[in-house]
Amino acid sequence: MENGEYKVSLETLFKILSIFEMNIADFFNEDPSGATREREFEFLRQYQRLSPRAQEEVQAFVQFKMQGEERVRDERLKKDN
Amino acid sequence: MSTEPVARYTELTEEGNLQVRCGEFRQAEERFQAALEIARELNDQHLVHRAMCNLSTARLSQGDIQEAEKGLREILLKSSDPTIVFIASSNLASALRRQGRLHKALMYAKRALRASETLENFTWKATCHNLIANIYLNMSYLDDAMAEYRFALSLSEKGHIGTAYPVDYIKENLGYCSLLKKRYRQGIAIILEALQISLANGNTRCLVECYQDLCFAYMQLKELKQAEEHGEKALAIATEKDYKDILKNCYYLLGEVNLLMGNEERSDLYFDRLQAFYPHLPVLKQFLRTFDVSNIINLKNPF
Repeated sequence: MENGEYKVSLETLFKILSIFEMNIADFFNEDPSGATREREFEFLRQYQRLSPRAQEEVQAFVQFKMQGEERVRDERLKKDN
Repeated sequence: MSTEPVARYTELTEEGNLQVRCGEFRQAEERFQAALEIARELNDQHLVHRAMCNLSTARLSQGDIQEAEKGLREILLKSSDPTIVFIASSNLASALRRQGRLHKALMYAKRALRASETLENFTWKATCHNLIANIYLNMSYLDDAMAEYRFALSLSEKGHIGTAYPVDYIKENLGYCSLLKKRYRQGIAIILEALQISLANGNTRCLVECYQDLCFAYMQLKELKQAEEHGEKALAIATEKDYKDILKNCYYLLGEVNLLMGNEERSDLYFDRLQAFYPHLPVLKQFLRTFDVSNIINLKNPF
């Protein structure tokens, strides 16, 4: 399913959603900073409006940033040890 | 109206079959129920089994799966008549498919196929391959599903069925399968053909599925006005005929289409209607507003 190879009905999707409901409710509602959450929603909405090619570029950039931050964390850990 | 019981039974069965093909499932159920009562009064086991199978078909079509499944296994144990074995196995396969028990469903569908081999009925043979294809579609084995749909169509040609039932359904399903393989233009062309056939056959159920799937196709192509028009047609029919599965799909599709069009108010209206079916899931609307799930959805998965 995560590779887009297995497709589910709306019913199944909502069953999965109900299993994770608490986490999703946290994601949607229980944020101490409403402004931050709104910014994240806006980012997601903008992302969805991009072409598939542009979405891939965004994903690659996020991946690149995450790897960079991981490297910095690893270096810090090495120094601390 | 015939007064002689066997003639009346035949008449009711024929009427019921016609209603099924037109998508008038409630009326069909009434006819088959009346036929079953006559068969019981006649104490004719063959007619009882046949009527029970027909009743099961009408109930399945209405989504009443548990009721539809009742008695079919018993019939399979008692009857050796290929026609009865064919209908009972097909219906059992269909009931299991709708519950997501796909491997069992496939087993009974293949049993139905074996039974159909002894019958010179190309409509039934094609129906059976269409059922097997539907199971593959639900398993997301799209290439296998396409091969089965195409084989079902070749059988209907061989049997000179023309554009009669079940050709409308087979073409519609084949078109939808193409959409899932992201061959949108090809899928649309096949579904439009199915739409014309459904209109000519008066098959409302198939017609509504055509409109629904065209809405999905145009949404994926970002031809949103077209998507909206087809979605609204599907919704109107689903509301009138009380096709609940289509109704939910339409609320989702129209919510998504309007969201993509920037019509947030209309999108909210449809997502709110969908949300009403799932009161235990208050985040559903916000979830759909935030995430695009169109690529992981199969509108024809009933479970």
